[in-house]
Amino acid sequence: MVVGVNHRSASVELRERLAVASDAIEEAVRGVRALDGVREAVLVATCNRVEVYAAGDDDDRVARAAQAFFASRGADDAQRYEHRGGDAVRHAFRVCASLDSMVVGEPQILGQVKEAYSVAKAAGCVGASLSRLMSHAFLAAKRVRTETGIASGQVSVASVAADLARGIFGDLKGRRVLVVGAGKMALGAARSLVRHGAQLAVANRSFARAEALAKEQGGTAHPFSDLTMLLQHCDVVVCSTGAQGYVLSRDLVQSAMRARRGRSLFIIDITVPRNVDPRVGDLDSVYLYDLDDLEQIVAEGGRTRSEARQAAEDIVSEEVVGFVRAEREKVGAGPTIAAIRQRYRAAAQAELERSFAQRLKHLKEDERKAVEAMIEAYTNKVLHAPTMALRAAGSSGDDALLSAAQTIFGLAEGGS
Amino acid sequence: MVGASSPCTGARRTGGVGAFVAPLALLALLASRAASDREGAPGGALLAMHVGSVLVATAAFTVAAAMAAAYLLQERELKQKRLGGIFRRLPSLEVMDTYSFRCVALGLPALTLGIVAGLFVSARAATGATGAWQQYVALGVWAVFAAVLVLRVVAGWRGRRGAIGTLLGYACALTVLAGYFLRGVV
Repeated sequence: MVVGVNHRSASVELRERLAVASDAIEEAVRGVRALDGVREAVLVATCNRVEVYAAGDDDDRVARAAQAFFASRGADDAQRYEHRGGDAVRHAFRVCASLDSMVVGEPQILGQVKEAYSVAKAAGCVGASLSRLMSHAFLAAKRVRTETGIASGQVSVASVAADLARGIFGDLKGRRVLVVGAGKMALGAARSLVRHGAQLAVANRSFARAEALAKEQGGTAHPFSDLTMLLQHCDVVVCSTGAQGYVLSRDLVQSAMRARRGRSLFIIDITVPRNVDPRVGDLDSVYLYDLDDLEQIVAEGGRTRSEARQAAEDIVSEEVVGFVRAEREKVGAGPTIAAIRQRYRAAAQAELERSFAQRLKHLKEDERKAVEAMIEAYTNKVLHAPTMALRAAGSSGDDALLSAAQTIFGLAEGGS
Repeated sequence: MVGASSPCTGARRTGGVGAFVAPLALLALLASRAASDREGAPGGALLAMHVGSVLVATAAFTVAAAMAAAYLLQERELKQKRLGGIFRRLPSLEVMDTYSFRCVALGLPALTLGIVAGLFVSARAATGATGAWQQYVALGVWAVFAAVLVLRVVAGWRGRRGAIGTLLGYACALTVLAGYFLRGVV
């Protein structure tokens, strides 16, 4: 079962209060494990979630223990969620597959859960149940990553601009980015390029404003009259002036391209009305994107992302069903089947021992072995059909048949 | 050929180019097998030099052509403003342009040597007119690749134009090779 808070259920203040420092996780998970009714525990604590995955013999006692953990840290019931059984499995799978993240598809969460798991394991707090759950969750997450495009796709205009620039120039280190005008959005796009190592140049009609911006962002300032020269030396141009006409005409860019000797030029026009003559985009080695183009790419990223998200949810559902069925088979019918076989074997063994001591005393060692093998084969054969039926009952959750079997085979009253 | 491509594409984000180089390498392997079946003609150092140089040139041009084709694909994606799977898998335009250029620059001297050695071989063998048209096309190949290099340096014909030129040169080179092998078969 899982009890926890995340970015949707709890305020950031509460999450801050609950946060467990990475070096304190081991101690905290030991603390949870020591609570009444908890047999196994894993504590996942990131900036967006604090969750206790716990297993025990009685769900209610485990739940009370986990609630006590959160209550001791000041979380009230309303901000906490709680899942049991199949829902808890689904939750664990969705968290690992990054479907429950603030930014769906972000890759860190899987690593964080893995880390939490290995800390809990090292602390001796993980047993068979959570170990199976977590390994299956990691497998499901891997499937989601490889089979869906959930981890790719674009997020913002600025990141699309940076992605395009990298697709044209590769490494942006040492490339020069020219911002024409002083629009906020242009600066945002330019900044994301600068983060990738590009150098910034600012040209503005008001030189004072260009200087101020250049100083603020760590670039060089240029008067508007330098434009021709700048076009020859910069590789990316982000345009956002308040001008009504074209600031970059086709002729201007064409002559710049001649001087650039064919080196690619990436122009981003983020203004409405446009500042760059659309025909500039027809020139060889010039890549012109306006705001619509960029937003289109962002939107496509979003669309493929929501499709990918659906596919990911489907994979998770499939894996959850598979896991729950396997668990039921193991846990549901497993103990009953084992007890029945144990009972038959014990009875056969007792009879054999008695016979070997009395009437079959004369048998030699290898003859005794043969008789034992025959009895073992007989037991297996007799129990084959009941075993299969019970396994099926376990996986389909047919508790009535399980308890009937316990009565018939004399397990219910704990007989001899 | 794959060996020629690996040091050239050591840079990051060049994985997708392998998709172009690998099938070409396979073709070359098959071709070289076919060629070795026909061995036994009178040889000598000049012939070895001719064959060796032409092989090096072919390998370099193959990688250059693969890069050029990938460049054109990537360029089309960027011009059409689609960032599909191709865009994500291929290296950047600049990287492909640079490595295509380097491969042509490596292949051209090798081809020059190969052609000169070939002229000596055919003069010595004095076998008459057989293969004459291949010699002219081979000179054409040389001219095209030389033009790709010269125009790039002198007139800044990079990118698209360079890529088209490289593919054109490679198509001619394939014609020569095809003629050579067909002549052996027919």
